[in-house]
Amino acid sequence: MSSSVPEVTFGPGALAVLGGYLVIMLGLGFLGRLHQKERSLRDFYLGGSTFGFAVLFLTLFATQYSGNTLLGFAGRSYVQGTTYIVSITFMVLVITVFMIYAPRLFHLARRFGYITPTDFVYHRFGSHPLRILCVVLLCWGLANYVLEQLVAMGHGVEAISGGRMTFMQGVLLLVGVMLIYESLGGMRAVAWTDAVQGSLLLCGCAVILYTLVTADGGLAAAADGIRATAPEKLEAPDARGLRTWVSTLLMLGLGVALYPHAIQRIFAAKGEKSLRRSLAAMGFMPLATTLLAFLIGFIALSRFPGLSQLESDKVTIYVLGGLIDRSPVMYWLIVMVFAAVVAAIMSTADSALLSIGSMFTKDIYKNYFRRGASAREMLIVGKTFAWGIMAILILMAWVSLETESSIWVLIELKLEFMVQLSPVFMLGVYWRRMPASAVLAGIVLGTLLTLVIWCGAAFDVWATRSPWGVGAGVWGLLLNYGVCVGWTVLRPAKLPATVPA
Amino acid sequence: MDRGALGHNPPSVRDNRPFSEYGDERDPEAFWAAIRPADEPLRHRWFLPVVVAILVVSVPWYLPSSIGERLALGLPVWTWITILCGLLLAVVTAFASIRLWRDGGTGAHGEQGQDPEGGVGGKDET
Repeated sequence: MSSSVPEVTFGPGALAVLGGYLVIMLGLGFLGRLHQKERSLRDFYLGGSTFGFAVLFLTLFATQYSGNTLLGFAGRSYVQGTTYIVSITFMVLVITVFMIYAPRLFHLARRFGYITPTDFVYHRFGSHPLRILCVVLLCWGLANYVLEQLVAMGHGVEAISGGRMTFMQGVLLLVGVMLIYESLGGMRAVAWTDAVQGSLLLCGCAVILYTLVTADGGLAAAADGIRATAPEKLEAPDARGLRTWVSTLLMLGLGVALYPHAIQRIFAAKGEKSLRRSLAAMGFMPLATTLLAFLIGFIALSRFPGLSQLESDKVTIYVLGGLIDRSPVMYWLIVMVFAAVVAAIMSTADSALLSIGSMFTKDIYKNYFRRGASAREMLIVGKTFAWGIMAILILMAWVSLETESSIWVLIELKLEFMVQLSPVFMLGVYWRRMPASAVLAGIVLGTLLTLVIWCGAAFDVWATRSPWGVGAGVWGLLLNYGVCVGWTVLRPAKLPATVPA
Repeated sequence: MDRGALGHNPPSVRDNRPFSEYGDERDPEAFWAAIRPADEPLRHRWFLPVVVAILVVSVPWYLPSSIGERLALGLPVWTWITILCGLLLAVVTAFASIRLWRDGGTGAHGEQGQDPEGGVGGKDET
């Protein structure tokens, strides 16, 4: 570790704040249980579709902005330099992409009562293999997403406890609390805790932003420091960098818009007005949160040059830890910020886990194992499956601790595959003649190409997993769209006589 | 309304059959008849070109890499162009969400009132 990295000591006050916060989360879980209207999948996984603007916006916000935003994005900004400003554009683009398919998806969900995104997939295409493939790819992405949150949980609690708790103790504590409130209250408890977590996160971001631009000469001093140690990180991207920029825009803009837990929040809206207002507000959030993560990485570049890939994930902790001894007010502000970070991590993990449980129960168990399963049975199966997945992921988080795997590698692994489902939603809601076979072939070939490029780089068959500066997942996506369009043009689906082309 | 669209018929009717027999229960006519909201952003011809134009400007392909030496408010000038494009994209997206999207339908739940036909998931499929 670099010698210039500060030792972060939060003291017992921070642990008390964390403890109090966790107790509130548990309380909200019990409250969610008390407000349960019926024992049904809709009530458990979508909160009965009763979320108004405030809760819907805060749960969307807390879910979309995770531990990865404040830790992983800042680390990426540190490693990549100013070109990571692209993160603001792709996070806004996610909401813009929603404008393309969300109106139709929401309209259908109201009409036909979808609970999972794959309800739409089966309804639209009527293909069992396609439904199963979609569930596998989405659960793959979500499981990686939860794993990434677990790694962030470990780092977060380790930092906030000042080393009193180890990485794994932190993971187990937060996961334990999360599973309890989620199992008690389902989506309702998750959304209510998200509302608290989202509020904390918004306040926390405002505090950090103010602190960063005012303390120690602010951004101007940081720029001077970078100019002295790594001037190339201030430069605009070259030709290859530009291709990587566009590739990143495509992969994250299209991929993050496919997160099943975000789509399920569209289904959980009380009505169109709440949803439209929430999404409109969400469009502006990258200018607070993602910009903040970018600035943390920017300032860390000047203050802590030469950090390793693994250490770069902790630059948020290093930057804020350097401010903690300045005054009692600053101490409590920073503690609140770290509570917000933990909040962001938990709110993302709980939502993703709930989504995995719903897809396994509704799309796989109900359809292929026990068609006559009662609501009670499916809820028990969903919770048990989620707990089992979590146990495996905790084990994997422990493995990741023993290796030099950074958070960013995990993000790429999930999005490279999840983005392959983009034609299902983007084209599927508009192009009536697109058959299931075209989509299935596109996804399979796109995923295979991604895997080949990825594995070739991993086993040193070729030098990079981003040929020509374009990510493996984007190459796969281009092939995927090409196959979907070409197949549909050559062999379009037959339409019922009453359906206009 | 298409009760069987998602394979949601009452368990007593279908539970003894293998899932492979349910493909024919989907009703594409009901699906496509229900898919269009009253208004949506893509129906406005300017929406997609404007989004693409903002994205094109947000990528600093037209600037020399040496422009990184010029700073404004502590950040390279070119990063401010990307930040402003992000703000502009957010404004266009918010406008599309608030003004160009009208659901117009009635759902099984929510602010639009009750779906007279209940919806497949209106009272949960279980």
